[in-house]
Amino acid sequence: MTARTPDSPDPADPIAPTDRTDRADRTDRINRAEPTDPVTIPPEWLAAYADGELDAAERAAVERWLTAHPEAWADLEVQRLFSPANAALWERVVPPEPSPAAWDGVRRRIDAALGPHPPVGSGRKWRAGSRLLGGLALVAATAAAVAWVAFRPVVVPPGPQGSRPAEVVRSVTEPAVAPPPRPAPPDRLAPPDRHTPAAAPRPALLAELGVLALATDDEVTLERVPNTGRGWLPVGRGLLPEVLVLATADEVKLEEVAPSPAWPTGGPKVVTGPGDAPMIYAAKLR
Amino acid sequence: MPAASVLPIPVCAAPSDTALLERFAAGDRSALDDLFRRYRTVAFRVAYRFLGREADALDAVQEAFVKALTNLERFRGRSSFKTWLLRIVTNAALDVGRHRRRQAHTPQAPRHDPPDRFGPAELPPPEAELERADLREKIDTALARLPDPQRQTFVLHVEAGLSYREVADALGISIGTVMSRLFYARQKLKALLADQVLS
Repeated sequence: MTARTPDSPDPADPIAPTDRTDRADRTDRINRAEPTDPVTIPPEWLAAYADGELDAAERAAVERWLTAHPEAWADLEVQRLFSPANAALWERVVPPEPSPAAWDGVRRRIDAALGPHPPVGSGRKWRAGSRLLGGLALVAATAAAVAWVAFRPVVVPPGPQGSRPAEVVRSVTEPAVAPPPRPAPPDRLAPPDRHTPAAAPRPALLAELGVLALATDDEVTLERVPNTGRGWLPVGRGLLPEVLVLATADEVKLEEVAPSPAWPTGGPKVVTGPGDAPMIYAAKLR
Repeated sequence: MPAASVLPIPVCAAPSDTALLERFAAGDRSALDDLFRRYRTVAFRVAYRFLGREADALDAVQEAFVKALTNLERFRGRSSFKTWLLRIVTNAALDVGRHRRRQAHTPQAPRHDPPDRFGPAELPPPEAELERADLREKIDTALARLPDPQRQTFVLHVEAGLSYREVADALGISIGTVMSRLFYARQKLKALLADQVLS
């Protein structure tokens, strides 16, 4: 038995085409083998072995395999060379610590950037910092919520009281199947006017949807997708100075979703990752 | 005269990240001091691995702290604050690196700068320090030639000391992917560095 070579490695990132090497799979692989069977292990287990990230059974499996394939010890040594455990190497290349003055400068600039400290939940400023995947434009075309990026938000000027507001949107995505009959929703789902003493309670129109919150009440109104008569868009209440960008290619991946009423022909799903990039889920009914 | 008695000095445990974040959210800016002192060094080292220059790394650290603290509502506690912050640091470092490249039209590899600081007498550092700087530059140049996903994974694990699980959480990938990226990153580093590191 030999170590499996990587399947069609991508020169940019030769990961296994599927995430087969999770713990359950590793355990299953070991359990299916006889105790004396060297077991076929993926080469990347050597990295985990060098880093002490395997459990006892997995370590034993690797050691059995190494015994059967002594030529692989050289690969293991490479993994150990660049492991955090090789303190002799990493202590030599620790970057010089910045001076106290340099740190003070960074601290002051952070303070300045944060500005006067607002209470949590009072709002959030969008900060453009990265660019959308080209492929995300496809998602934007089908996931109406991504129009948050493509559209310039329209400033809805305050009209005289009683004037008809723009048609407003009910939800980011709307199931193809008509919902149960209900009273006609208001055309505009504007946040309550804080300056009006007796502000109307906010309709719980989104209560049935599990959406990823992107903006506060202060920042958006919900308006009907133009020319469709259905679907809703969150529209900023102020003009953005430039196109809002959301994520780098590293921060998103596109996955096919199982067919659902919301996507009768199937559709892409943007998967969020931890960090600072705001992402948009396809809304789903709770 | 009575003998002096020894009073036990109460030892106060350092506040947790959660406590500091709550204090910060409530408007206590001194909590930011604690958080900054706690994570600035590891954040700097991670950023430095991407950028190779102190000034750029400090810019990335600054940007990362600002982003993290202005977007705390996105930190849902599924990972530690350190893991979440370092994810932001790597992204900030990549952004700074791209910005610098666009400005300077130079490759991503760090410049051949001398060490960032000299001694008080402005004399060049001893030979050992120059050797360390040279090796550091070689490592950073080789890291710069890795694909971004491999480099991010490698730096978070090796420089920041995050476990496979923490790296997976930070990058939103599986542990198997962490394993695979590290394996191939190290193989490539070996090929790039040849005997320079092995000797």
